[in-house]
Amino acid sequence: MFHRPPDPTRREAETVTVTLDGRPVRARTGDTVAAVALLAGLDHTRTNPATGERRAPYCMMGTCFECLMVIDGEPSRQACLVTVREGMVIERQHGAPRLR
Amino acid sequence: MPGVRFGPDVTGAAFCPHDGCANPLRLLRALHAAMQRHGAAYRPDAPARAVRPDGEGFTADTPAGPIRATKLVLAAGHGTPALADALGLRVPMRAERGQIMVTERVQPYVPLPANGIRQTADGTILLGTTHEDVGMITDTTLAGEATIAANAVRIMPDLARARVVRAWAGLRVLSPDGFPVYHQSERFPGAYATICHSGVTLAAVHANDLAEAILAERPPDTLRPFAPERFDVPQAA
Ligand SMILES: Cc1cc2nc3c(=O)[nH]c(=O)nc-3n(C[C@H](O)[C@H](O)[C@H](O)COP(=O)(O)OP(=O)(O)OC[C@H]3O[C@@H](n4cnc5c(N)ncnc54)[C@H](O)[C@@H]3O)c2cc1C
Ligand code: FES
Repeated sequence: MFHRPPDPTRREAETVTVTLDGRPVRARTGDTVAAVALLAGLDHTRTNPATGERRAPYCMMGTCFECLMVIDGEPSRQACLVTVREGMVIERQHGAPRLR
Repeated sequence: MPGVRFGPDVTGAAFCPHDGCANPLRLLRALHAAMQRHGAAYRPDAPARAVRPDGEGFTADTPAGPIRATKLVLAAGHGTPALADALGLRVPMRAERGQIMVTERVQPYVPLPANGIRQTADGTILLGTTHEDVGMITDTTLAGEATIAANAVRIMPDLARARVVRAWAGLRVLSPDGFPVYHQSERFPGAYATICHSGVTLAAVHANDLAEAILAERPPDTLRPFAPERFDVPQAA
């Protein structure tokens, strides 16, 4: 669905490997978690705790809170505001998060 | 509290089987539904600018015109003192600010309503409150919220994982001693004033005993100590 536009500088980008819902995914340094999830083809990144609806990143700028995911075990993080790091563990957030 | 992990500072707790939790949105809806069933007219378009005795009963002057009644009960919270004088009613009052924070919805975690930590049926957790003497100001403060959060996390450290989504403040309706004031006017016996904190807890008394006393036009002995005369004693040093 989403793909990366060609990089006009044609630089060889540095890459990191993250785990997305259990599978390894290559990403570029500086990518946000939301961008990586969309590029990996996820059609939703969480389900709404009230209605169960599938939701995905929408504004990509920290306003709408549609992009909440579990990042390194911490629930309800805004995936569009977090940049990837080597070894990061990213999971979709199903419904309301657990406190323990 | 099955499933709850307490912080190391928690050494004990008190349990009261009568404690409970009413969801404010559902409570408000139920009150309005019950009012309609009993034929009450709800008039949000007609706040009372002034109330006065008019010979036979009372008149409230409102932007929607005068409203007449043979019996009048002032139950306007902090709006009560401004209306009381004209009816010979006396309602000494003070405001106390209480701040509340609410978290995002999380999986059921807090199985019983606790003092300052309650989870709603929707999954949000209400945290708080503060007791602040700041007059009629309903602002929230970072210091107030930091205190609430620190207390909550000290009692249940897992709460640190929940995100706060909103905070707000309310003003407690308090008499000088914190107990309710139920007052029947001596000059105009059809006029009453009732103010209280803990109006949710006291709802049963108000709906039954107090309402019957007002209909019968005389307070039962059990309610008499709540008249404002109790404030007429000199303060001990
Ligand atoms: C932070 C906080 C926590 C609390 N926690 C609890 C709790 O856990 N349990 C509990 O039992 N209680 C609690 N309370 C107290 C409870 O909310 C009050 O006791 C209760 O709301 C009082 O009800 P009331 O109807 O007498 O007054 P209010 O709720 O103050 O209602 C008065 C109404 O009169 C209206 N009014 C004012 N002037 C006029 C006018 N001139 N004409 C027409 N209408 C007018 C106002 O708009 C308002 O709607 C809490 C309060 C606060 C602030
Ligand atoms: S996509 Fe809107 S806040 Fe992240």
